[in-house]
Amino acid sequence: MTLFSVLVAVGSNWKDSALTCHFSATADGVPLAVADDTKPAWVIPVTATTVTMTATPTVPTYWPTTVTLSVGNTGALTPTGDAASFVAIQNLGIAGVVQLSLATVNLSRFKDVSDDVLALLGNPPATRQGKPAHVAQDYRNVYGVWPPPDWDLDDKPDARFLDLPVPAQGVSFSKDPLVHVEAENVVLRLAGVVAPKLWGVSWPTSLDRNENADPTPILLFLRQGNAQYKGMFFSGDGMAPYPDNFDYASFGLYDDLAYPGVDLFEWPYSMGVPYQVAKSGADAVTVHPVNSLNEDFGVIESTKQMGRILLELQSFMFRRAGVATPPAILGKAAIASFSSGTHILARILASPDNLGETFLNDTVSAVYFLDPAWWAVKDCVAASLAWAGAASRDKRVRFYVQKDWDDLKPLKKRLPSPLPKEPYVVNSTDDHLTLGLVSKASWISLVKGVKQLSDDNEAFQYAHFGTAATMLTHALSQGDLN
Amino acid sequence: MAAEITFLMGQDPPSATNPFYSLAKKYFVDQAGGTVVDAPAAGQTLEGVFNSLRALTAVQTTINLVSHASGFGSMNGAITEAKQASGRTYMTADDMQDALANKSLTPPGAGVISNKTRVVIYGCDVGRSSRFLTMLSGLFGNPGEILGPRRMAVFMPDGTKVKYRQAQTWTMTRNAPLVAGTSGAPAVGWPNFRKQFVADASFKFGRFVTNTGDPLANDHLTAMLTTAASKATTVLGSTFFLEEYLDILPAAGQTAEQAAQSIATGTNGDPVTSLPASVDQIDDTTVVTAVGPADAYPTTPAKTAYRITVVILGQILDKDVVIAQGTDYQCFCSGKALAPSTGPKATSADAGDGSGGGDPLQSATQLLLAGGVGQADIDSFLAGVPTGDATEDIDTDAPAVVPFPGDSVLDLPPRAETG
Repeated sequence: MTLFSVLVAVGSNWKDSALTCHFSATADGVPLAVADDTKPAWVIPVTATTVTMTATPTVPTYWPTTVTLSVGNTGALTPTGDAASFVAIQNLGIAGVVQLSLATVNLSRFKDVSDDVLALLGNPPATRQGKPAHVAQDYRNVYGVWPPPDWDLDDKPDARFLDLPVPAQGVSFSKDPLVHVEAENVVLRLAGVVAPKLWGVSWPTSLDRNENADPTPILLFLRQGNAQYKGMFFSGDGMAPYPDNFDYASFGLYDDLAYPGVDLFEWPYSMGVPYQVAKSGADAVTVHPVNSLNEDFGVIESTKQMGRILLELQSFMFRRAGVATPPAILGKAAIASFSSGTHILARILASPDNLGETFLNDTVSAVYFLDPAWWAVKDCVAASLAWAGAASRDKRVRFYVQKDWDDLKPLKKRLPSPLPKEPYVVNSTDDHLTLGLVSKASWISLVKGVKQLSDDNEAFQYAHFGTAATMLTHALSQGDLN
Repeated sequence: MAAEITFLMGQDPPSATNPFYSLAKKYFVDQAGGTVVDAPAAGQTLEGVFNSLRALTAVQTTINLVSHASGFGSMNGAITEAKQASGRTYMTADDMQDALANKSLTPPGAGVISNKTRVVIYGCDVGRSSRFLTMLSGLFGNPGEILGPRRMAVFMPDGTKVKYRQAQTWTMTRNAPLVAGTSGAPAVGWPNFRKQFVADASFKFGRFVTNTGDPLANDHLTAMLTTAASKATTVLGSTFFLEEYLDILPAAGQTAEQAAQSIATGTNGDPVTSLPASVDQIDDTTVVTAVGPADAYPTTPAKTAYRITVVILGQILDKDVVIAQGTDYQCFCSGKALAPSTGPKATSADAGDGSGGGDPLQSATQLLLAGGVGQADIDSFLAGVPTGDATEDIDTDAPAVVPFPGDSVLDLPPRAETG
């Protein structure tokens, strides 16, 4: 027993910068009084066995954090429970007399909302644009079970993966029962920003989270822009505002993480990004921000913010794994983008505000463009090649398209000539650049035994999504994150 | 809630030149509505105090303990009657820590002590020891406040009344009693004693002048001590000499000499963490006196008994004492800070308002210092708090972006067309 035990608490973020908080605490369930809850110094009752403390930041950009501390015989406090890694305790005392404990509570900009978002998947709108809809049945037809019971990405024996290595000419796809997404999959919510508020994360178990772990390699996936869906999806029909509705949880996230329960050639509209990571052999964490209808990717159009947020995410994921000392920096990062999302990526790369910024310049090692919209190709090529710069910068740029757009010429000039007959996936001689071209006609031919594409529009959409659902595998297999 | 109750921890001996307890009793009796409990003939104990309190069966607002200064960071009275029976006449922080660890003393209980109860010590200067106050608080069962004087205090006649004053003091260890036999004076006579005392004190306290900014600080210190000592005797006056001693009792199987050489070092206050800023601040509140085996001397030619003696030169500070956290008193709060003690007619405002005593961090820090933890270690510990600003450079709004040149693509899985 210690006669006089005092607990002092302060707040900090992942890199130990101070964060002002309002603190409250209980000892064995009994509230502890404090004169100034932003600079608390509590006297711990001598009989106390457990102290529970909540830090509520004074700013909206961090989430409150609750931690539990056990009181030892000497009065020393020890973190316990799931949030143990979110608090650091220093003790200074004289045995039996006085114990002074300093608790530094780590507050994060992220919190786990996996269960909340999973619940959204079970709450589809009953109408679309005011007309009765059978959304749940549509999803059940694709995934077999709907809503999913959890965020696990189960084995998909009917998924067809791009065969690796890709030959000099032609592409092929095969089912691969050896592909498993062994990962912790969670959905996180970022505090205080207009967008992106939700972030899907798939953290492979092969990427250790321990005190000696290397900085985390990250694949940041930017889905298509949402401006095209105004009046159709994500709002109306009784749905809650961003991001708390079915469309954001399903179309905006789940469809990009999952593969269908049916043959992928029947339904290439689910992109299975973590499956492609697993197939490629890349050791990378999939990070999938959920863009909003009105602000799309919001704050992460600034790569300074993007880098900070990913560091915050790395710290949060390490701490929830019980590791209080996450890496101070990130591993290499690749940014993949799809459709109109490619133009958002081009905008990010070309922004004067981001020019030379540390995260974009040093941490991002590769950018991938998955079937950019026709109007985006020119900007994507120009921005990415400018960002890549000289070969000595060792930056990687990879395009996968369904049409041989004229605007691809600056890229094609840097590839071996002549290019082979379509379909093909060709790298530059130094493997830093890629152009993959699989046309609508090729897709129709490739899948004809499984799927008959009824018209040109369907063929376009098929090839469009099919490119993202399969060709990302090639990009990830190039060692860009090593 | 009950009115104030005052316990006298001892009685004045018949030959006392300083009728400390008698004056204290008159002082508190003169206070309206108070109850004064005399010490038993053998002296009061903390156990006796607790027994009396327990019998009151009412939560007390203010409990006063009146005790002579001991000069050793201790208070008159043994902790338990058993200790008293074994010859103990005082209590130290170590004694109280042992009592807490061994649960040898039952607190008065929640029916008497609450977080609104204030315990105020009068007389002895134990307020210089955070640890002492903390231990005492624990024994009492953690009342709202324990207030201890930082300086030795006296009760002085004031016409027909008595006033409570503190004294500025300078403590020196001596290897002989202050007064020789029944002469009423030191063996070397007062002039020589004063001269030697001032010389020794000037040397001891003169080591702490470095922060005063006074190039003649040592001369000024010596002059201050000389003035204080010039008319001081054992008679309580505006200045005085006071002898305190500690008889060292051998344990079973120990010789007196062995006992003397095995005693733990004691101090009359917490380690000083900042040097005095002016010469007039250089006294026992800013310079700690430690006593240990080297200070013990035999009191018989056969060395069958040992004693440590300190002699205190005192100079009364003729101003009202403020009984609240500040320059006169130190407050240890185990609960939320109470309002300042009403105290005995406190009118001056040179002290705190009591809120400072409610800072548990400050209390803990003082306790750590008192327990020998270095200031550097505490500073290093507290330096572990985060710096910087976690909100710096966080943007929450989307940056202005170049509008899309035209989005004619509608990424539309066929499922989405249903409805």
